Amino acid sequence: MSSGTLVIADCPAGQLDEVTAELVSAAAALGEPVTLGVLAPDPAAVPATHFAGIDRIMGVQMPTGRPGHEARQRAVEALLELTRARTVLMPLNWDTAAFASALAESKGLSFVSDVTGLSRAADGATEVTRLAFAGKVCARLGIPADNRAVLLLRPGSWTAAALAVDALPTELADVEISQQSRIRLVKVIEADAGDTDLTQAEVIFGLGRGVGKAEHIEVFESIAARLGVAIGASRPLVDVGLVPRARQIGQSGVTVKPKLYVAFGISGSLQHMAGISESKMLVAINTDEVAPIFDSAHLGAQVDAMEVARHLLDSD
Amino acid sequence: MKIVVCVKQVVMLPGPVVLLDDGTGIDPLFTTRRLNDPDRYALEEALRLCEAHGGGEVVAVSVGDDEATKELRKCLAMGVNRAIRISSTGLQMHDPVNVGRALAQVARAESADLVLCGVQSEDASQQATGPALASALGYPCVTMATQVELSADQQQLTVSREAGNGLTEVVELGVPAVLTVQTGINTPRTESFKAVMMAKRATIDVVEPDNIPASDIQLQDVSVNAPSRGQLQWIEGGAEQVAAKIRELVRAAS
Ligand SMILES: Cc1cc2nc3c(=O)[nH]c(=O)nc-3n(C[C@H](O)[C@H](O)[C@H](O)COP(=O)(O)OP(=O)(O)OC[C@H]3O[C@@H](n4cnc5c(N)ncnc54)[C@H](O)[C@@H]3O)c2cc1C
Ligand SMILES: Nc1ncnc2c1ncn2[C@@H]1O[C@H](COP(=O)(O)O)[C@@H](O)[C@H]1O
Repeated sequence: MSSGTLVIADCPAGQLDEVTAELVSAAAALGEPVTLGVLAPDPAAVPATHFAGIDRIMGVQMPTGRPGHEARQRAVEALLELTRARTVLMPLNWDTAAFASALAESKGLSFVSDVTGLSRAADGATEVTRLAFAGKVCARLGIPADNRAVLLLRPGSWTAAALAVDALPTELADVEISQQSRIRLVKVIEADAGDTDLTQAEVIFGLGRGVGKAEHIEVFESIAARLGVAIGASRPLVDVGLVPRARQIGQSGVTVKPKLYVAFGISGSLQHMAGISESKMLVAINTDEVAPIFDSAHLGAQVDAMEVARHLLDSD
Repeated sequence: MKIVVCVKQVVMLPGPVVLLDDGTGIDPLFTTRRLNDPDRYALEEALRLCEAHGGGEVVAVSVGDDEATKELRKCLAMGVNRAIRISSTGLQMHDPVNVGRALAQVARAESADLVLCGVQSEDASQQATGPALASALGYPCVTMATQVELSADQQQLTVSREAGNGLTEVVELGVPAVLTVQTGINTPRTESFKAVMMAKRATIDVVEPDNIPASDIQLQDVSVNAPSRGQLQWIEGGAEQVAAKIRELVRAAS
């Protein structure tokens, strides 16, 4: 039977992602030996990989540049084979979401995405928790003891593991990962900053689907003009053309760090929160008492955002 | 060009979360269902690709129960040529590999040149069904597509995809292929009243998945996400007081 936990650290630029330390912490709950699998052009040169709780570091030499998800999938597959690991942990991000479920499908492994909790049951089953329904509901899933599994973990859900006192050597896996893929990369384009720079704004009113009507946005625009604050939005408002793309805040938009962020009608998805976590003061206005945004807010009010808007407009 | 679009009827929780007494699910009385919003973008993209290349066929496929038929009718009203429901009986809807394999069976039977999925489902948010389905078909997969172009001979795709950190990758691949379509790629059309009425009469084929390996991921229970409200303070009073507080904070921060 397979045993052991494989934590994947994908380091195309030769540096560990901060989330790796969180995954090492998560792995500890499974109580099996932990191998850190380092995917990099030069795995042995990746600094600070010797976390406390790791038993072994295995490097896979990757093609330089942007390897693409088919090469990544082959690299993880190779490590799975070499280590015979029972559980593979990867962070949920663009790169891993592109192939993790395909890896599970092709190798007959169990798969769970966006995992926020991990433990081992008395009978050896892996217990996994994940959020569903826009973060309002927590689901507990059980993976039987004799299954192998690929799990994508939500960044920010575990405290980071510390580095161990002694360094561990990086063993180089004897595999060759070619760049070959059915998908050819033609070019990479950088985002065009647009005419608005939200990253410098001190105060931002973030608008979400709860106020996602043209007439509501207009009200907020006049409030913003009067108070001298910037307007940002969640992705759905940008997708339907209510707000320009340059004002989209979040994982696929801009990351802001204002002194004050007031979220009107935003639920607090993982992807939106990724863009506002550096706000000094987060205020959430939402009619739903269990909206996940209240988890991270400093101040909250369970009221209709448009009622608040009308008072903001009136009393000036 | 034959395009299969995978569409999900998602469960929404507009109000408070009310669980079933045994904790295995959410009380359906407090849920509503609708077409997964990201899937509308996938449908629109499929329709546009066919229109731009002088025809072809778009087939909407959904794994779901009888109620999901409603969403397939919506797809027909939007303009897809046919709709197929895969019965969810015996499938594990919380396992994207299980659902992806069932979708792959129909895509294979349809000899689809292109399979489009939404970027994620609004209820389960796994971002996983598309790549799993591609693996089951043995097709290459590009996720988070923000632009899709098909060559004149309909054999090559040029796809822009969001690649994180504000980067867009432009990639090329041949058909058959699977794409997951990012929201905002287009403006989904609205159905005309006439089309809605016509779709009411359309027949929607139901197929049973054939020998899909059972999923052994067990859904044990669900609970209301108990938030860690460590630092949260509720602002006292009604909308007027909340507005006053915001004004005060804005003044202090500007
Ligand atoms: C790869 C990927 C990248 C993404 N990138 C981003 C990104 O960069 N930024 C981003 O924002 N999203 C992004 N998303 C989308 C994200 O998953 C969510 O769908 C989105 O953030 C939800 O936006 P929302 O909170 O405005 O809408 P919803 O989740 O629909 O929330 C609306 C909220 O408004 C509340 N509400 C309703 N009426 C009122 C009222 N009258 N007053 C007050 N509150 C009210 C509701 O209770 C609810 O909480 C991405 C998704 C994917 C898959
Ligand atoms: N039950 C289903 N029936 C048809 N398509 C589905 C189903 N579940 C997921 N999908 C497709 O897969 C996409 C991603 O869903 P998910 O992996 O759950 O986030 C959706 O946008 C749909 O296109």
